[in-house]
Amino acid sequence: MPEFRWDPARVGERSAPASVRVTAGAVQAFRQAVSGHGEVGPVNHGDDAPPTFPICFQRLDVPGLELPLEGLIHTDQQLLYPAGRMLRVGEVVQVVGWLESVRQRGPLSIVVVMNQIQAASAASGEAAVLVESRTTVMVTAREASA
Amino acid sequence: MSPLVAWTPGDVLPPWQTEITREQVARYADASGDHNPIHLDDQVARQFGLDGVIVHGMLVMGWMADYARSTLGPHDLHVFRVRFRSPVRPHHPLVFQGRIKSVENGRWEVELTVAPAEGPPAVVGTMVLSPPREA
Repeated sequence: MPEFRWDPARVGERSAPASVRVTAGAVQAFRQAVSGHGEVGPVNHGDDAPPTFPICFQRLDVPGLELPLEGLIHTDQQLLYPAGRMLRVGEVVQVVGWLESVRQRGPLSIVVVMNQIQAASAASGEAAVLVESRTTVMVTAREASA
Repeated sequence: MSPLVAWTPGDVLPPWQTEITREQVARYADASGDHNPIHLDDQVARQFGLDGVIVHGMLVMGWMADYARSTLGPHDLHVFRVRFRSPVRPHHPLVFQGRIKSVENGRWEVELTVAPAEGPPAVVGTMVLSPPREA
């Protein structure tokens, strides 16, 4: 099991962009999975992916960070939609992630990872960043000694 | 369901009394790709000091978005943040609640909570919405 390691010198270093497609099948499966009434409701969602769908694309394996597979607690999640719209079925997006900060709280470490999802080709006048995700996890494992 | 523009500060959303099943957790694991055994295997969950498997926080957050859309109608979403304060267990009664906190400059700020039958909310959240640009 990987230990928890992080490199202060690499805070803020962007990962290489990953190109991913928003597929109809993935959106449909996700929409059904987060539909609180157990079925797709009466609202016509069109081609919009659900608001939390971008979590499928986000990465925590950002430069300078190694997280243990177990003993992680997700404490906070923020999603911003600067373009005022959801991801859409069929579009190709670029995902970039980075380590934002690490704080120690007693035996725990509070790790913040950012992910940005950008339109591969932004429509005119639309913000290039479609989703900005800020994920905070608490690491219960001790930091590996250097 | 009233359109978003009909909601004013202090208005309370009709609550959802519900629970999340193990089957729904398993389906979310498949749909999201998050197969962490803490959500699927009671034995592993107990090794981490829990009473049994817990629901993905992101599944609860997904339901919160569905709750807002079902009660507030179509809208454009600009900000959605949540804090996971304590674990949510499958097959335990939950109540989803919401309240319009403010309406300013065409933006509706909505406070959301998900609470077990007893005790404080396990998940609290905020959304910033505006009326849909497209009909």
